[in-house]
Amino acid sequence: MQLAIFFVLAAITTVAGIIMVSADNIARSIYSHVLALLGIAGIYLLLYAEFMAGVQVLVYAGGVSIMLLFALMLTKPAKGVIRALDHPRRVPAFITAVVLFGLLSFSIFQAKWPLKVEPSRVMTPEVIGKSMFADYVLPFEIVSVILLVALIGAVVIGVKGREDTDDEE
Amino acid sequence: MIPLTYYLIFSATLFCIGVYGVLARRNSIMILVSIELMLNAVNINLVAFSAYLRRDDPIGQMFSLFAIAVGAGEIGVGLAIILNLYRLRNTINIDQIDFLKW
Repeated sequence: MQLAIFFVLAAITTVAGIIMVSADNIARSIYSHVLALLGIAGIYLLLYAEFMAGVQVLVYAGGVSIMLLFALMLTKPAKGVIRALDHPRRVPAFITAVVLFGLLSFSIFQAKWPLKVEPSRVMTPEVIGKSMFADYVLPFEIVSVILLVALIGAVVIGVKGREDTDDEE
Repeated sequence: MIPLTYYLIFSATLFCIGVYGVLARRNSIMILVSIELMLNAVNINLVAFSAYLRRDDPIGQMFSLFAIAVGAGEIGVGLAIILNLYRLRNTINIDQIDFLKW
């Protein structure tokens, strides 16, 4: 039963990813990206990582995707839709991706993983929360500083009407 | 019962789809989206390893949580840079952004 759910979620996420990297319409690409992120949240639930699933939906599917859509609307691609089918870079990129996948799956199947082990069920949000504020409080504070710096930096970079840029206004 | 290798193969698949997206797309926003897909694939890998091999240690999920936070900040700064570039040159096609080439 869990295996069936896993295959359904994996198929949905993989198809959404393929649509995402090969669609000409960028808005369609970002919508399928949202679907892929929701599928990955489902995979987290299969791994009994509920907090990760919640954070994934909140931050990625709910925040970053909206930000990407805003950026897409603010930077309209000029000259309509460019036909990407005969772009010379697609074939080497595909070959690179396939070779990388071959290398990764070869090394995955060669390693001696412990078989027939269930995923651990003890990582509830309570355990994550206790551990975050007991053992990992320093990375937590540092990430807060990083996000503050990123916020200020994004505003400074993106604001209009700076003196050292050549805006015609 | 889902073996660990299924999660690892799935994560490798998503990672390679992201690699193809980074190499083949020409819009800068689509390159950022593909990088995000690669980040998500790596997070699945970390959480799967933590759930199967380190059963009492939340280290995998902690790593993934901080990776999500830093990745979100990185996407924000990257999009601000892209917006500024669009205002400057009116294009975000990476084939046309070659000012630093010799």
